[in-house]
Amino acid sequence: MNLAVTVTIKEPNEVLIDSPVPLPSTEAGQAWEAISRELLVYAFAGRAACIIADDYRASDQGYFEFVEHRDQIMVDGVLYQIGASENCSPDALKAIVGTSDIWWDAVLIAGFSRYDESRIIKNVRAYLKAHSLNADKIETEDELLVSTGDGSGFRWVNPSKPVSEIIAKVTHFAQAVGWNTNV
Amino acid sequence: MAVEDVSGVESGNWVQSTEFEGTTEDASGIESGSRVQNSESEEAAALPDWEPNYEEQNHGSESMKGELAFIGSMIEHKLRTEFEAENSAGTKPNVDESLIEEVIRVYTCIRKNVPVSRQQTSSCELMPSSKSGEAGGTTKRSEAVMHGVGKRNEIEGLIEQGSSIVGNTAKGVVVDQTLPQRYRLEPPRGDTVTGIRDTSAGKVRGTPPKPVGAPVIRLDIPDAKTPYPHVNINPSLTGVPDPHMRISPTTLKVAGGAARTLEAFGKVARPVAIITDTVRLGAAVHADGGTIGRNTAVTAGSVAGGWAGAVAGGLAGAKGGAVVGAAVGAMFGGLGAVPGAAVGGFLGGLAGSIGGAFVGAAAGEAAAEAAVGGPSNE
Repeated sequence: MNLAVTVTIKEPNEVLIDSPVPLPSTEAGQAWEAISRELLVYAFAGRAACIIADDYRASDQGYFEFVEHRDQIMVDGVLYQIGASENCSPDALKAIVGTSDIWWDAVLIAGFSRYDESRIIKNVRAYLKAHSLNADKIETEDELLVSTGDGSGFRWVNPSKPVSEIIAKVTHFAQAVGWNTNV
Repeated sequence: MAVEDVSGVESGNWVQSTEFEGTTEDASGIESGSRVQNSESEEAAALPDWEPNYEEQNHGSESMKGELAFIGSMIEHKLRTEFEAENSAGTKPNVDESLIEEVIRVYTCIRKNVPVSRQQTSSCELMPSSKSGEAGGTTKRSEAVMHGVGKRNEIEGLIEQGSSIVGNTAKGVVVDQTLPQRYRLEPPRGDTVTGIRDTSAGKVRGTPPKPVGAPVIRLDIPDAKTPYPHVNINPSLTGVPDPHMRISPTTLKVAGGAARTLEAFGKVARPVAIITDTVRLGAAVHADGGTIGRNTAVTAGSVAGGWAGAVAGGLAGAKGGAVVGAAVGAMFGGLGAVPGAAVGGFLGGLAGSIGGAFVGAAAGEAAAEAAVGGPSNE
């Protein structure tokens, strides 16, 4: 079976990267995880990033061990675990993939230049608002990458990379596991 | 131990008289999925408000669904009554290993459609299933249902026999006292209404090192990519992709509501079992191509019968869970058997009431299989 990653360009500045749902086999699931790992590393490795996960259980997943600054923030009654790094480790990004948190769509990765509590709160609220309204647009000016569809896709808002480069990279990641790409 | 007698079967309607301790219930008419009950007792009026939901799709045999639902409701009423009595007594069950073996033996016979001997002293055979559709004094299907109920009575007889050996403490388990605390309910998070967490899974951390736990099953509201209520099974634990199994909004509501309500009262095992049943039914509907078909009917019967087994005594434990898990796993077809094993693991892990439910599940499946024309050869 020929599987494909679907890349959807949403104006003005948003990219959706999705796998088929449900995936047909164990091998397909592993392939999607490999694509996800490459995508996260491509998006945030070696630069400033802030990993935001809701719920106290997120700290059990281990990926926060790879970041320098860890904290907790209460936003509208919900506790969020924060991991911020000026030079985000590929290990941290790879460790996110395959966790229950990404399966739960409970992880946001923001391209902040440094730890900024008010900025985190602003983005969390923007994400929650969009999610609860099932809105097409997340009202933020920051770069934000969130897991969607029970870990079956990503929503990349205000990407720092050019869209054409993202498409080329995703195509490359997909080809590496024998998948096609639909744009 | 309850004794149930089928006193009349007619054209898909049947009349059941059930003797409880100190109470009697009479159901005077079941017709095309509707349920009519005449009751002289207050207990009969207090039927469970969290019955398993058999209305996944509006397809298939409505009368069969009605019959299965009725069996389930009667069983659950008794379950509730006996659990409450046991809870108030504060007793703990014993587990008899020889009885476990017997239960598995009976279950295996039923699955293979071979004669079931009764403690080596008596035997019975499953009545050949009818597929001719010929008319008669009673329909072939209702004969089959009646036979299935008879089979259930026989197995319940075995259970009762076993219970007399191990004593009354093994008859009717206090689930919340016997539940190994491996599986817990997941509190709501994001789109998740409820779910089950395996506390022995996940990363190993801390001093001394111990697993942090991981969610295994989630019941979710619709999202953008899966625009209907669905069951998620954690791919990182099962090794297979999340099936995103569709369930009905009612099922989601019932399971979520029951979980929250019962958890609030410290009743952990029952909501876990409800969720497990939900997943089993979801898998069956999936195997039937999204409709009520053979797998769904059999599973619904198993679920209903399962609660009967829980009443009768917590016996089987992990062995029963493994068998049931294999059966559930087969329903996942091309998606692999591992999710089924995970579900079965819940049954096995719940040594006690839900393990005991395995006994009744066999009986319920026998009834349902008879109703749909005998065991599948698949």
